[in-house]
Amino acid sequence: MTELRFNELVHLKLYNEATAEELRELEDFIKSNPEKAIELQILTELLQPKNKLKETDNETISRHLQRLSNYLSEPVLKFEKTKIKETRWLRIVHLSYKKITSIAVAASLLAIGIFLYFNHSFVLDRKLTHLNEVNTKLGSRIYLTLPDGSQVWLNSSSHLSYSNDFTGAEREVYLEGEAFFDVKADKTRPFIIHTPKTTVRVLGTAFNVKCYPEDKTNEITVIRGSVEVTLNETKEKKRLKPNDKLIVFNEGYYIQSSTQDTIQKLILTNPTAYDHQGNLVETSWVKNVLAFRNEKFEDLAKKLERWYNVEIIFNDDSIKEEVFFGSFKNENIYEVMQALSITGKFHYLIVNNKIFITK
Amino acid sequence: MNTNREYIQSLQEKIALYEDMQAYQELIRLFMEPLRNFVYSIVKSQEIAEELVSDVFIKIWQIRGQLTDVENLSAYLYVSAKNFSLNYITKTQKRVTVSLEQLNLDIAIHLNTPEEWLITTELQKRIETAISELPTQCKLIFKLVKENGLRYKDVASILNISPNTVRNQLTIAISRIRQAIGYNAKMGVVKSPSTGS
Repeated sequence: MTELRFNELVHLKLYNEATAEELRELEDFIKSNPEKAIELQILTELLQPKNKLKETDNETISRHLQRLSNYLSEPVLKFEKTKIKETRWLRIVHLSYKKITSIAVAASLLAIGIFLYFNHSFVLDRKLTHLNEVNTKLGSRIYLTLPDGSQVWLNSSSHLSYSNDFTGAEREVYLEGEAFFDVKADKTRPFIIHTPKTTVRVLGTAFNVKCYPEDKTNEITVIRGSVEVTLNETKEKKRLKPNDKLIVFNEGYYIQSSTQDTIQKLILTNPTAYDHQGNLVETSWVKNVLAFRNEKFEDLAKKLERWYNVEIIFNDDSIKEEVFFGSFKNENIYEVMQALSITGKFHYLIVNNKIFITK
Repeated sequence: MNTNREYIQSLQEKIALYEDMQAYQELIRLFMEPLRNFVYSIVKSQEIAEELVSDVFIKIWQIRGQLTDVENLSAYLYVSAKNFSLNYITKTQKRVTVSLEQLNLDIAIHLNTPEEWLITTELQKRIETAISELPTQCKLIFKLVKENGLRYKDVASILNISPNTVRNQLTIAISRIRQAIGYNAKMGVVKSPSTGS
């Protein structure tokens, strides 16, 4: 055997690429040249393949997953960007207001005709006249001015509509989600906000209405002036002054009264300040601040989902009860989750738009 | 070593068919470090190497649906890492095209820690020097086989060379190392205190 062949057989054996014949060939060669055995041993010792590759450490893996989710997730729409985009859209609606009205009249006449033709009893739904609709996507918030000059800040994943006769005797709007209203004073024409659970009647004031159907509560917080809230179900009325906050519980989340043995469907309380300037948690979102005090993770998660357009999935119910204090202004969801996980003692994984929470 | 073919294939299938995040992470755990090491020898920066390998895995996630079409995932990862690295070099150094052969690679091969008495530090040093003086391509092939645990034919397809070249280059490596051992091996035997054992 030549030296060259020996060299070849050595690496074939070392790296498990040798055939049975080649192994036998090497073995025979060593038997007849015992001095080669020591060389083979040295080479094997120093050069045999690593039996375990160095595994990647967790930190590197999570850095990668972070990059992956950055890369895959759509950029979170920021307040300013959507404001321009959506108000432009709104203006177009306003400009072609008359056109839309005539189209709508024609369409409803046609619809009525079709309905009559098919001999259906037809009741004109009040909602049919809601021609002006504004929707906000998850993760986006907009500011708009109503025809009467009232200002509305619409939080993410919300729906606001107002009827054609907005300029009539009453200014009526329909809201699902959350909005901050700064209503232009007009004693002759009350401003009415219809929400699934409540009806809020005002003259001129600034206040926040939060009525997401997926939340446990509906909240109305008054900053200036006064409002009258009517519960749609019981017709019960409440008058709210500045610095009043009315919490109306959604079905399934009623609470037991502490003093009497009755079930409470609403509470009159006060808003919560989150800083020394007295800025309120309830209206912080208008200033693009996500603030929360003494908030259960479960409820905070819903806010985060809407704010950042993410889905938060809890793998453990006990974490839902964790309570958080804090406020975020320009932080992105990664920074927010990082910050929360430090105080909250939980782990999380962001994949696309989903955030998995584990203990 | 848990990087056997079937195990990798099972991960590959889970990622492709069920978008299994756990399998994806396991794949990263197994391959990121060796790939980073490989990419480092091309780009010579740990940070950039990590970023490039991360890009490779981002791509893997993006094409996860077609992953079942990839015949040899391990080789595929290395080829992608190589291509990403060469693209990076082309971009940053404003070259028209580059190939591995044109580059001055930084390849370090670490000897295993010997447990036997017959390997002296001096001998180790001689072997290390011999390895460091190997031609670049030879060294790279040697490293991929020894340290990354790749099969010869995988190395051939990663480096776009014939399997015979892989064999021949390794034969050259062994012969140079044996030259370095040379007389010393016999010295080791002579010096040994208990040759009879």
